[in-house]
Amino acid sequence: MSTKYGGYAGKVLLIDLTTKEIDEYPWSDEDRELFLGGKIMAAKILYDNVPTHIKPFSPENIIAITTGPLTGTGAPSSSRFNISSLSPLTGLLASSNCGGDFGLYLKKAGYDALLIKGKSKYKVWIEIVEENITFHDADGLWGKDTIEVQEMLPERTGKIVIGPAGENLVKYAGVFSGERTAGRAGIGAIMGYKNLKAVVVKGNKNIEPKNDIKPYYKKWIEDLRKHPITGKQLPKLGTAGLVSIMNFKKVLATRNFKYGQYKDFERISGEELALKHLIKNIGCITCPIRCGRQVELDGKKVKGPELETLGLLGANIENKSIEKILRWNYELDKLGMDTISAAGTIAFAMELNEKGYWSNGLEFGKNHNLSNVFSDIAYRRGIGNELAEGVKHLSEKYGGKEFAIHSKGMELSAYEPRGAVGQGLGYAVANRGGCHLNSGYLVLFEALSLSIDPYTVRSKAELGIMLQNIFEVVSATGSCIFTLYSLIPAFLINKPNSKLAMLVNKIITFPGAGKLINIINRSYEGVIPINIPMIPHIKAISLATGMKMNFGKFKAIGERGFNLERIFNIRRGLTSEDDSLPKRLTEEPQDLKNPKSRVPLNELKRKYYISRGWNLDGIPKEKTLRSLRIGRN
Amino acid sequence: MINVKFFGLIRLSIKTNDIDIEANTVNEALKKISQQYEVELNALRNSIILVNDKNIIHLKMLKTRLYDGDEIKILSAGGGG
Repeated sequence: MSTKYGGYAGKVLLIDLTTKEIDEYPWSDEDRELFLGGKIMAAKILYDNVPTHIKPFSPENIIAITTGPLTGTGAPSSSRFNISSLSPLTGLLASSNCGGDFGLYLKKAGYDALLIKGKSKYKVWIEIVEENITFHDADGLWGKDTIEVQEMLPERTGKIVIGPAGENLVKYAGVFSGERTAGRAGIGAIMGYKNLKAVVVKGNKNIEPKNDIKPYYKKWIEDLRKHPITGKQLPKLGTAGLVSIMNFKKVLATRNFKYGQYKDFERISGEELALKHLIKNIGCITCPIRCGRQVELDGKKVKGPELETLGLLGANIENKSIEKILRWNYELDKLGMDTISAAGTIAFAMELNEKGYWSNGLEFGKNHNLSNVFSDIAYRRGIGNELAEGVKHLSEKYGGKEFAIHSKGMELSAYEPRGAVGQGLGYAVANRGGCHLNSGYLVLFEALSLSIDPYTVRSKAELGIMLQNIFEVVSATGSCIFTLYSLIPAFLINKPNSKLAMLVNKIITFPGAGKLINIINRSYEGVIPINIPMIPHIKAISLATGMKMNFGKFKAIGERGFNLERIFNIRRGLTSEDDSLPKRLTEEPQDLKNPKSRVPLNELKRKYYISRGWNLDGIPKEKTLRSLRIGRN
Repeated sequence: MINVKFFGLIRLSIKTNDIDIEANTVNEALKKISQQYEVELNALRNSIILVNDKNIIHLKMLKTRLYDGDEIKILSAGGGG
């Protein structure tokens, strides 16, 4: 299968682990125009091929590893890959995104995507060297942690692996590549179920952009370096730099989301990390931002924690030792687990213990034994066997649903949404569950980089939709979401006290602003045939692929992807009841003196559904799907 | 005495967490910090500034008066998670 478009390898590989048959999956240029790549491509393939009512742990479940058209063309921050499957944690479609270099290696091996179905009778790892695909016995690798196993696999290759957590079907086991993670939604457990320990890829094929795109990329890289977030904040402080601002803005989840501020936040902050533990910043191949932290642990250089881990293994369990978090982060990576879900589950278990619902020995503020607990989770020993099931399962067994901090079964990340109600809406409607990114990441506007009124419902649904659509399609290009900081002009960040910044913050939630935003959201793709410099990916796609691309078409692809994920989930039985948050976040104000400091979810959902072109049950209307050229069956 | 704490990138360049100074207004405090710690005054003025945990944009901006025992927090704005 070849393509007239640049940027693509032109081939999708399909592997059946049961029969060990290799095939090519048909993927046309029309598919590329409609779905671009990445998570949207994966959603379409899974929608067409995964039988409606199967369990996640079944041979018919498919793992779709997909790249985007910018990957391999030299675009900045573009080596990411997506991995999608039915999630064992939520039972719904889940996609997980990962940095590192695997995406690049897969393209160089000659593939835009790799689809894996079936289940191997024996433990296996797959080696893909261009057209040569070999199934190797993985007995000698099984049981190894994610770092060890990668050292045992061939050098100078792209690798994805699972650790003991994936092997033992921990519901939030992740997929690991280099020092990076496709953490969320438990796809590592699907690999484990299929007896697949690793996939290793290598090749020398070149990915040709359609046009000479080097000058455009050069300018893009310069812009990334000049922007205060991608050029200064992220390289110097990493995502960890958010802890302090989150604390000030009362969105730092503390004590299982009981509070939004932590008195010892400074001890677990990005500044503390940078001043006391950072060796240097590190980054994925092709990335000029380099947000990763390299820290010292027991004389070794290891990857340091992201914001989520600092918040959730710090404030949220009332631990003020950053040294412990460095260690736990490393251990969780080796064991092969999502730090967000693991930490969220521990916090919930602590509260269950405190309230006498489940005697498990875990207590807020007392955590000397957590390393053992994480190991017990990965090996499903003792209470670890129950913790491995996640918050939703524990709440169904022991109670405490009001403070079971998850949506659709996936634990929330570290942003406390009662300090940013738009983020709360996002968590509730995100297709993969309690995800801060799939949600549209409104907290960026409500607390972090801008300061729009965090408690008002005005504009939140509409702005959330716009951001969700844009995030969706940018992810599909193969780019890191951090390249979207270009959406926020530097002057707004550099001068937060200026009259202009204050005006912008006010205007966004002005009465009527939401309607304007929605006119843009709902416009047909032909209506906005312009380029937007604040989203450099649009022109990059035009130049790299040769496709006619503009803002209208670009956002339509994102909207298509989001709706496709939605109808997949509805077909699985999702209803509007699942767009939920626990009562702690919707009914108990974070601040008793401020009744608005809670997420007015019903009101927000209603506005959201209507603005999305869905009915009041949260089901996309026929005409919405038709206008997006996706059907429902 | 006014207590001043630094957060964000500014903390990395000032390298101190916690100082005490005398000042009657936020503007005066920033000028003193700029002189004592060799930080650009503009960089300070363009940070998020909280007085007793209230953002100065909700008070009187740089003219906000300070009283003995007040706490200022200075944070360079950012994002990314």
